[in-house]
Amino acid sequence: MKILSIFLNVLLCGAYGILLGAVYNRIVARSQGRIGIPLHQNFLDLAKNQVKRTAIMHGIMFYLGPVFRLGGGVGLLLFVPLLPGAPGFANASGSGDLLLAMYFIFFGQLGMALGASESGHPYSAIGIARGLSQMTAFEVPFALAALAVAVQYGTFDVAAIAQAQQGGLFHWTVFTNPFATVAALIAFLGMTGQSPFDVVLAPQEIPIGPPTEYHSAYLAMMQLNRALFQVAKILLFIHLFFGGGANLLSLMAKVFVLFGLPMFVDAAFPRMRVDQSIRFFLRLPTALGVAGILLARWAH
Amino acid sequence: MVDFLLSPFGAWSLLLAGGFLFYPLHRKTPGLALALFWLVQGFALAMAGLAAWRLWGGAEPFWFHTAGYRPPLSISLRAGWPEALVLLLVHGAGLAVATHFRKALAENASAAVLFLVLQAGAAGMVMTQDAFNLYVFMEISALSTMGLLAVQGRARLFDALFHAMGVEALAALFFLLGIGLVYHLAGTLSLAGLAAQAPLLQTPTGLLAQGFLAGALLLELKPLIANGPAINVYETTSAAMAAWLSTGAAAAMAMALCKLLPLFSPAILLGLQTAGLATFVVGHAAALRQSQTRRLLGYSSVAFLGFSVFFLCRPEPGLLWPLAVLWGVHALAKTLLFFLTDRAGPLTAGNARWHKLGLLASVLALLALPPVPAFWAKWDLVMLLARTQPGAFAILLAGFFVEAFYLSRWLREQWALAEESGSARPWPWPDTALAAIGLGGLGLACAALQSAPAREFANLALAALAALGLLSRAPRFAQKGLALLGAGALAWFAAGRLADPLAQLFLALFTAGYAVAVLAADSGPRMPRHFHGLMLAVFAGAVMVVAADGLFPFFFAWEWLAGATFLLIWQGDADGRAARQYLLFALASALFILLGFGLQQSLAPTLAWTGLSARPLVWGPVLLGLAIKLGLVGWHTWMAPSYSRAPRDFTPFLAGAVNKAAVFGLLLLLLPQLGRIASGPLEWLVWLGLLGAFAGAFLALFEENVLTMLAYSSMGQMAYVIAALGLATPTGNVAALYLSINHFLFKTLLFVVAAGVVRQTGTPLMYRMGGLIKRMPVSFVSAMMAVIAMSGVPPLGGFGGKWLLYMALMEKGQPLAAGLAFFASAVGFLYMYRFLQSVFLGQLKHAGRAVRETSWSAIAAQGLLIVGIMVFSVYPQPLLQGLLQIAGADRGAAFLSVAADGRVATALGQWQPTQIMIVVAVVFGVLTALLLANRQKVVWVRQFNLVFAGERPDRPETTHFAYDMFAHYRRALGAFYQPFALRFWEAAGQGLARLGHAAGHLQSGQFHATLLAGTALVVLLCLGALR
Repeated sequence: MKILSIFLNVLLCGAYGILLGAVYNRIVARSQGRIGIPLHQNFLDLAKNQVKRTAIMHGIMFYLGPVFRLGGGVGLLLFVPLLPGAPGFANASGSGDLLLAMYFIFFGQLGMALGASESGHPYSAIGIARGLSQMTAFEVPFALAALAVAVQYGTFDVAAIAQAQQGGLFHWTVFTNPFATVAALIAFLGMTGQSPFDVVLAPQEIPIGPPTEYHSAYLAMMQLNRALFQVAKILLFIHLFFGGGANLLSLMAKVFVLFGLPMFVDAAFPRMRVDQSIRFFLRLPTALGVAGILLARWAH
Repeated sequence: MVDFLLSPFGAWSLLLAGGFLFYPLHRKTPGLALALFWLVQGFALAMAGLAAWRLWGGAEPFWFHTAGYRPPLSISLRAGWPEALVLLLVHGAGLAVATHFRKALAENASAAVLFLVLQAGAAGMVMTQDAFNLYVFMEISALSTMGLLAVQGRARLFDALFHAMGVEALAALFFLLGIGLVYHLAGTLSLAGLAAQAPLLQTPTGLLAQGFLAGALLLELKPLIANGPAINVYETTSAAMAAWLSTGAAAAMAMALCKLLPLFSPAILLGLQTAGLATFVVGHAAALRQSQTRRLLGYSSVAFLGFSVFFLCRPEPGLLWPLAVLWGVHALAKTLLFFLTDRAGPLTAGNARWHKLGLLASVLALLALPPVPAFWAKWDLVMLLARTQPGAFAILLAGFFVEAFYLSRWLREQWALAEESGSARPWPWPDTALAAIGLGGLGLACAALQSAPAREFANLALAALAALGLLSRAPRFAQKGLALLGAGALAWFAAGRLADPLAQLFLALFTAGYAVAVLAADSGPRMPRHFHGLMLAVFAGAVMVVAADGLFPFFFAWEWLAGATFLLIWQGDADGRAARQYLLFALASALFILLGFGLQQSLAPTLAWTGLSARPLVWGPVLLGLAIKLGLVGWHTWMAPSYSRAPRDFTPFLAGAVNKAAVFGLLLLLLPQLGRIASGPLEWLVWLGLLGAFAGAFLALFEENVLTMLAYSSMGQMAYVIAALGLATPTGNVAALYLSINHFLFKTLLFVVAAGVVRQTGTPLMYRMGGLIKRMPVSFVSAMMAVIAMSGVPPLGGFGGKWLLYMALMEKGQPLAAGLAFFASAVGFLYMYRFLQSVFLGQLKHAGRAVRETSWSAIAAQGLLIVGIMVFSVYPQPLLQGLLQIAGADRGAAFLSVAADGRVATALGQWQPTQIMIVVAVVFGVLTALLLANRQKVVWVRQFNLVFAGERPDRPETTHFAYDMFAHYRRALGAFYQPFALRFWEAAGQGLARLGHAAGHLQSGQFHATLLAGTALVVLLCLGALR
């Protein structure tokens, strides 16, 4: 039963993530005066890639790269409860706490990086170097924000943190500790890899970035991961900063809002170089993270 | 008559008679005269030995009264314990010097006569019990020494000699003045009579007489600011005479001082002590800038004399034996060094080996590293001093470090000279063999004399030295097996005696680390000759560290470990630069530990860890000393050169296991102090630790050499351990232990892989590698496992270490520190990815096509470590429960616990290692299965079947992205990436050199300046006495 519920939860989050991707594609298209893709287009793309006739192979690690990547996404989803307090939506969150989720984010990144590197394509390696560098920088404000939350609520248990925010809008961390929340949200922008932090994938300069040599079934796995991983991270943010999910509907609404946040920033800001983004993350967002911790210690 | 003849007095008479008879005999039968010469020399030494033997057997001190009367009607001579020991040294040094001098003695009868008279004069100084007679013997010795120096006929020597004679005349003048005044007051010059009338010497005239006598003797002992001419003599005379001046002559003069000490007032004694200590420090400082061997050794000898004067003038009992041992070692080592460096032209390869061994043994003896007996002697003396004068004790330790600084530099230079072997040249085996045999004999004798635990350690150390010799001569194919057998026996023996779980844990860690490193080691001809022997010695040191049951045994083990590690690093370090750097930091570590132990003695004498005070003054230096060996930030500069230049097969053991000895030491220090030490002073350690983690990660990030990168990585990882220990909580201690075990597993594995890669590719530079996953797939898998374990990425054990660290930090209310730890950990992820990408992934170079997988034994070692990592990752709960017990975290309201269902929990969070592993394995397995379902569609592509920038590449060098991979990080945070610590230590080294320069100026060889300085010293002593 537990396995079935986990499977359904993964399926739900994956489908919702793919759908949200299409929705926001359409919104962006409309804002640019285009019609945009149909809502089912991403599902079709996924299926098409999965059934492609051939797949090139550079080696075992290359082969396993997307497995690591998707494994990281699914794993993160499993280690974060979908609805705190609801047994059917707890996934495998009893295995660990917030620290597990924070470190498990690296799992998929490492596997993907190793896989892409085996292709021998310099653009893959360049993209990975950029991506990892940027990741280490945005993880700092995120980690500080997460630590601030842990200090504030006296626990690393994600479900307990979400539960502690129940009782009203102003109990949410976003109101009780805005410094930590803003630091985490800025880090979240970096995590999504969208402008101004999109030099890693550099979508305008196809082909570049880690997935350069990946296609067909590999690409399908990575597309699926992109949707899943995004949802998993957003879930974590909701539980930490936005009061968690009281029920499935409110949770989906919150996911919808947070999913869209990077789109607006993407439309407004030009791209940063990696060294610029490192400096950026280690300045204001980090200072906000520190302020968040100090506030948490002072207030609690 | 027979009793007289078979005594030191008989020998002394024969020396005098030989001096008179030699010349006429030489004119008729030179051969017989020379035979007589050697006979008398040998006889003198034998009689000194016989006297010592008889005294050891309980005999009363020997007395000889001239003309059959007792003092004051006659002059008496005495040979008690002190005299017998000094005579042994004087005649031993005399025989060694004569052996080296043999050609000159055979060709020049005057020299032989002077040498016999010199020996008689020195022996007389040692035995006489009359103040005027002492003056006579001093003059006989001085004149014969001058004569011996003069017969060498060197122009520069005459110049130095003239100046030295001036000082000598000044000393003689003051001595005579002193004697005259003393006789005026007491009416006798017999030392016993003077001692009986000591109150008469407390009058102003008597005090003035004391000042003259003490000042004269001080001038003879080459004190600060008046020893310039003596140094010039050292420089210009022959090696044999330099050795004599440094040993026999100095010992006899020190004995002369001892005779008059009972007459001196406390003020005079204090003045002598001050002069001695200043001479010790400034003498060593002046040696820093010396490039000329003789001057360097001369300053070293002068400093040792100052050290002796300082201790001789102290009132505490029990100084005789330690000083005698130190003098013995000093005499043997200095004689050997003067002889060995008396060379012109290159050595043959065979000679060079022995030459280097002699140099090394002598320098290590002077540095008092165990099992050289000087180690025990120095410990006794400094502990005694620490109890009474902590300030002087600290100055003394600083002097020891300065001595190590210049001796190690000089050793490196001499070593390089010896390496330039070429044409055949006879090696003077009689000289060096004499000294080497004496050194070994003294070591054994001292080892046998120690208290039980120390004797065991000394015996083990000697056994390790024997094993080193045997293993080096064993066939290469058998060395590995023999080494493992020896280590296994040692571990078995130690395990049976250890009851403390902490010691058992670390013994297991050291044994496993040793076994894996030896298993993985190369067996080919490229392996350094002494590798396995020295590895065993290092292992023995590590075992001794865990078996030590008190402060002294621990210090013994610590010093032994440092010495053995230094030697092994040097095996792989061609120019010895890295090895010297290691030695200096290791000695600094030992001296800080000694400082802490010593300061404890000043508060409450104890030799137990549990007895150490909770005051920062005590534990602070010990903690710093131990943390230096973990690469504490600022003190880390030794790590990268040592790890990268040491033999590649040693580094896995060094980085994985040996450095854990410091963790063990820190736990020995801190565990008994839990709750006693105020957390405030320790808080800086947490921040220093995390700063080290951050610095280590950044240094590794920009490093191209794989071994150096892993070294910096070690620095960063061990910094987490330092931070965890700085928390001084049970959870922090558990975290430190857990992190240490994990570090042992992954870092040993990484260094085993790196050693294989470097061996196979012939380069340590990562950007020159690439694509090796195709050639070394097993090594890649091992490296990947190690990287995941290191990065803290679940599901491997590294995550547990990080989790425990964060919990410990949060428990202590340090979330900002946790944030810094997270950042350092993330950067660690970057450089480890780089290791995998640059070495194993990307494009395979053309040269890499010939590369083969590493040896089977190395693969087996990797397999064992991977099994360890997996067990540690899947089911660490039993280990954690053990660690909780060790760290005292299982008592009372424990913050951290291991539940029955396998949950590791604190009040803040929880972690289920087994469950995480299952989840990840299932997810990974399902996804892999899904992908495999499409396997029929896979098409393998060739290496260059890719397109970028509109080109299809054909050369891997242009396509492999590896060099300066994280340049953007450098651009972003380059301002922080500065070699602050290196610059600091370089500046410190230059500062020391400037200090040496200034100290050299203080000891001018100018005639008038020296005479003025000498007179000023005597006047100061007199004024001090009168005041």
